[in-house]
Amino acid sequence: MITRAIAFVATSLLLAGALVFAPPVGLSVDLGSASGSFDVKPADQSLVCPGPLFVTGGASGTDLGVFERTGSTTLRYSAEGTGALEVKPIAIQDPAVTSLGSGRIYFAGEITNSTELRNTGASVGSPQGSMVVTGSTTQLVAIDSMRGLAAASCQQPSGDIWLVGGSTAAGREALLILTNPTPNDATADLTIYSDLGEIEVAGLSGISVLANSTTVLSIASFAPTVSTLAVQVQTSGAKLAAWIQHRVMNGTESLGVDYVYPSLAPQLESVIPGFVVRGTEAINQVAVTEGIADAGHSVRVFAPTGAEVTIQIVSTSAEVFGAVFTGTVEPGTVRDFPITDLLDGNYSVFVTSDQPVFATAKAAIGNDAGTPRIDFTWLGASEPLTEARAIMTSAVIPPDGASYLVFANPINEARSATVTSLETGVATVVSVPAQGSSLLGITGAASVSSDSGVFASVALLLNGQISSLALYQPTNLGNSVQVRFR
Amino acid sequence: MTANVCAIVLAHDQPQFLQRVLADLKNQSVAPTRVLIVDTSKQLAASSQGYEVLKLDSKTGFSAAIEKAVAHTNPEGFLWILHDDSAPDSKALENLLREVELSPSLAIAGPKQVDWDNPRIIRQLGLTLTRGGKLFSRVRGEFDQGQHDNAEDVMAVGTAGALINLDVYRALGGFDAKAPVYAADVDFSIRARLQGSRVAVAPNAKISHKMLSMQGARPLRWLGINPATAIRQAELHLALSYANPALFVLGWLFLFPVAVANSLVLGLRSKAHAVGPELGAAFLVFTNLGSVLSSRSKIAQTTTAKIGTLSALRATGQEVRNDNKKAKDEEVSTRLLATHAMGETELLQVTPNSGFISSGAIWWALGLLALNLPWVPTNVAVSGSGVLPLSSNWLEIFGQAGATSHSIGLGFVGAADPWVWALTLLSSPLFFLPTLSVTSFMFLATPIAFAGAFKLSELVASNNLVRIVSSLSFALWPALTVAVSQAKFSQLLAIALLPWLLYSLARVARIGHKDSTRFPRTHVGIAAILLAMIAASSPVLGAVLLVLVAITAVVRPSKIVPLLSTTLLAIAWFLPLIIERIASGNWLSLLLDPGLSVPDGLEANWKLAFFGFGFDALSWGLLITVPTLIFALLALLAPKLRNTLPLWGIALLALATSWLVVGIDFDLGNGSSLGIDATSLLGLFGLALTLLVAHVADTSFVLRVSALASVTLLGLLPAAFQLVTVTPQVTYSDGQIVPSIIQADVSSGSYWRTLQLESTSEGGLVAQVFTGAGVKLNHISSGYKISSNTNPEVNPEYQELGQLVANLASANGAEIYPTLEKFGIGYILVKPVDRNLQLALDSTRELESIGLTDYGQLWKVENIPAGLQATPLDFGLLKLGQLAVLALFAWFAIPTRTKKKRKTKDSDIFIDSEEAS
Repeated sequence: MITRAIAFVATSLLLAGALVFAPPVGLSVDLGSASGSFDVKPADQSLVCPGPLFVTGGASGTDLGVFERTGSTTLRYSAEGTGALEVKPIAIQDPAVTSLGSGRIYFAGEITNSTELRNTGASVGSPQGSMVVTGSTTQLVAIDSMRGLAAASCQQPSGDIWLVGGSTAAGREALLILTNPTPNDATADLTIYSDLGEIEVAGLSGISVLANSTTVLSIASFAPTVSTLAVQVQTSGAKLAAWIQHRVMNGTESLGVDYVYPSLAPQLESVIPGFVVRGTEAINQVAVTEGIADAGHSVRVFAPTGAEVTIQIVSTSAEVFGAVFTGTVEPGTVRDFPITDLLDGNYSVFVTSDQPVFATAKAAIGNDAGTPRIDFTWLGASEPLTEARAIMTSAVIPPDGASYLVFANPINEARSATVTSLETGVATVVSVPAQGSSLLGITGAASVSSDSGVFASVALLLNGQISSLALYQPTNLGNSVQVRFR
Repeated sequence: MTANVCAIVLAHDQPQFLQRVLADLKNQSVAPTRVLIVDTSKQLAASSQGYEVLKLDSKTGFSAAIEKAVAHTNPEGFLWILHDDSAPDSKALENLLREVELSPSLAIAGPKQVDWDNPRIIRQLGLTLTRGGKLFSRVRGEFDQGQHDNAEDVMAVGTAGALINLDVYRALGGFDAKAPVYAADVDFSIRARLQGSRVAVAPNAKISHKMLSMQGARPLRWLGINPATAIRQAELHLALSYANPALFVLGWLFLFPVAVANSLVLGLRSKAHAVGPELGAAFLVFTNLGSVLSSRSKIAQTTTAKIGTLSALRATGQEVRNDNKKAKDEEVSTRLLATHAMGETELLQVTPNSGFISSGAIWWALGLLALNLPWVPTNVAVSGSGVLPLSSNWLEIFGQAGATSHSIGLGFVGAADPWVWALTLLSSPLFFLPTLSVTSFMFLATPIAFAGAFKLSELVASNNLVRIVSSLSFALWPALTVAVSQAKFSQLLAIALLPWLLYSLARVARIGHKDSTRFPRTHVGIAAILLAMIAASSPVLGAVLLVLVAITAVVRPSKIVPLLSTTLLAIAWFLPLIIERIASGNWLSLLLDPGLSVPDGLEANWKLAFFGFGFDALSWGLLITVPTLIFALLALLAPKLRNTLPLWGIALLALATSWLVVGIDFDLGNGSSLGIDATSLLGLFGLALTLLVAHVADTSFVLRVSALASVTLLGLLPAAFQLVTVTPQVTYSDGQIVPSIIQADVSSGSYWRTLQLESTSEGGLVAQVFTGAGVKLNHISSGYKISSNTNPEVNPEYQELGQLVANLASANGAEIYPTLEKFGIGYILVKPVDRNLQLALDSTRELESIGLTDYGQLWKVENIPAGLQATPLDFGLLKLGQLAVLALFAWFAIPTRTKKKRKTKDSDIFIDSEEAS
């Protein structure tokens, strides 16, 4: 019995002690890694610039499904790098080729079709991005059915595109423009969201976009009378460039036109610089007095999983208070937050949410004496600047118009950015206050860099009309690709 | 007394016994008037020894044979029926005739049937029915001390040696030809009684009866079915034949339901071996309604009284109980004598009904199987996080075992995992559909583990309930249930086979018995094969078991040879791998688990003993560790420390090894790493603990109740609940793991390689190359996983392949065709679906998009010539050696003839010394 008791006590103590006090043994055996890093030449950098705006209805103005381009648009681009630059209008086979390598080139001219800018034959290891090639188009249209300034940065084709903006309410038109610059046919599948959630309707999938062509669809044919829209375009077969052309009419009066360009991936903190407000009186006249509610400013939020959002509008001037408001967006719906009571000034919009959301802003401009009385622009969230990005904008200067580089800084510390004119080489340092906004006028080609992650976009004003350009940094998978073998 | 007696001897293929019968017939003090041998032999014709022979067809039944004999001889007086295994004593006929002389109303007189070899043992003295309608022999297997010599009237007598009044015979229309064999004689006797005659035994008349048909020693053709079923069929037939019309109809209609209910009762009463006969007999009687009806009409024609008048002659309940007790005692004494014969001198405690079936354990095993029903296999192949289908060709699996060249990736040369040998063995019974063996084993893992633990528990406990509960707690131990729910096939194979191995090892080491010098061949063979399979499935557990075997060999030096020989097969399988790993300096990687590795999520802290105890929904199954651990500790206070201390030693060794192993990590670079799974070690830990609980529960009533109650309530019920509600994440398929178009190519003999791509969140890519129908469970090689074979910095082929993958992903238009052609890559598969990769590949002109398949997006590379898979059966010297060792131990494992016990109800008191060795 004694031996058993001893055995019992000893074993219990040993077990308990070992479980509690024994140190964990950590041993790591290093075996060879079955992976490597491979240098590859990235695919040719390609940017697609939209052509002139589309007019619907044909000659009579009432033919369905007839889309024709109107007028011409001014294409401006700048490139510097290795290899050659091919400038190819979509649907015509022969590109114009210019070789690169002997300094930066600039171009400004009219185009009547969407155009692809392609850097071919770049050497392995050479940099990518907007400093290699960047471009934008601007079109000031003045016909009976459409008036306004529409500008867009040339964008890199993609397989999954989100466009948050536009409206198909009465008098509003949203055209989805899909351009395929590749020699392979593509098919696009659309998903459309509204303030009531996803819109289920036939015909959204398998939309054909042939090689080297542009396909235009009226969103109203899928989702009529929807005033808050968000569209997802997913492609297979080839990458596409996409915009929404948004036009507003009030009766026979045109109240502006602009492009909605692709959004970034949904985030918890969206920063939308470039919110430039002019002509508030005219805006209030139209929006408030005449009751055309969506003629004013607004912020649009699309929350795939629902979110509580806080929207803050911050001015570049410390004395001017912008606006702050909160709201809830139901899952899978799009909601517009109208912004009223903003004085003339230059602002940036900060949207914070508890779930990732897509956020865009529509800034309106009032033009008392001119036509159109109202023009607007759609601004998207931008990415923090780290490396230098180039932007090519119009050369117009006050009093005819201006290009403003608007900076936004969402954090609690003041930051700075350096803006260099690529033509003259003059650099300007702009400081951006904590949780604030700054402004700098630019012309032509400029590069923007910041060592601390500032956000920026360009607002373009011309003849009392407004549009905006995004600062893109197009890159292709390349240079160094990590491959692991199993 | 002079009476006309016609003796009929029924001969059926037993000439050696017939000789004695005929010789004894010649020696009768009163000779029969006439003797006729009715020969229904099929093969061995009877030698007549001068008597008249009537040859009949071998299919002639008993009743028909007698009838034909009577028709042939047309006798008067009496009929004396002898079987070819019933030899009458010299005064048998004389004593029988004296009985009928004393009582003219005696229609049938039966002799005292004694044992053929030992006439001092009574085999049968009249037959009757119990109140429940079962056939019952009052006197059976007793020593003849004259205690039954006053017996007279009985309900029935057997026909062997019976003297029958021919007038009564004719009045009753002979034996009932439609009745089942065992019912014919009882039916005849009952009808004789109901017609008014007497049926009695004449104890002075002795007949030596071999009772061949009762023992099942007659060729099955004669009886048609096994004796137990025949007896039950006879009982049911008699019951239906003699029942009143209403009861007959009800009885026939409800034959089957009643039989099923009866089977349940039999199961509960630990008589599960009687279930088969019960159901079979019910089926036979049900379908032979015609025979029952004809028997009924014969009864109605030839008798007037009802069977109720014979109730005084039925066996009483007390008699039945006494008989049951005697049977149990007989079983115990038989087993004791048998073990004594094997040379063991220690007194063993043998309980009756301790087999797997008779103790009712089989029902618990079926219950465990029922718990698995929510995920019953719906197809032949199973896939999960730790299991894949096997190749559909068994020869391919066999070819891979012990091979040195593998087709995985771009081809790999290295020692194969011993795991492939285990898979080969496991799938060999189902060689036409190997992957079904994996699916079945996984589904049956818990019952298999339960059965093994039950067998093993025989060594520590005798109470059936204790054994069942401890085996259930092993089957529901978290190690096994987690392995099943995470589909970790290699671990669950090791754990389920573990108790079987320990049982065999215990038999090899003769644990608990005095040493005998015999070489326990069968158990050595079984143990060697099981140990090799377990070591192949979980090398860590194999290492621990090797240590245990070595320790046991040291402690019992007389058994050192058999014990160490059980390790030989495992060593043979591992030898090439050991040599290779030590040569490369990577010996620790021998402990890597084979097959697909699934992280076990265990850490080295106090929770390890409780299998990573956590407080979430999945932890119901972990509760069982608590009461088991407590009672296992208490077992140390119970008697027999020499049993409990070694078990605790095993448990602590398993726990300590899992502590060490959990912390070992193999870094493969780039953030991916492999660990060693400690699940099987914790299975060994659990097995030792459940055995300890069985031991302590067996010592006293109080401990038994408390241990069983707490383990059941706190452990088994929650674990069973979790097993039912949390089903394993497995999918069933037909074994195909590649898109149909590739599978079709393989079927037609064209083999292309497929490059499978996956993009990671960090923007890189993971690439894999496989040939033909994909990487199945037997293709996975741990050597390949850890080798630097796929390291592009070392291997120029992978450098080239990596460049190809990078070019494909960046869609830069670089020249990819030469590399694709060089490696014979005909297909590119992207899984899971990735839009950017898809767009990149769509824009590559050498690729033709096939579209989205069930296995990912697929592209075909145009104009790549197909390769033909050369499957050389790699028969290197090493593999032949491994095969030879396997064959040797498989031969050992075959049970030998001398071990088969005769199925007699005798106790062999005098055992030949030759038989015992």
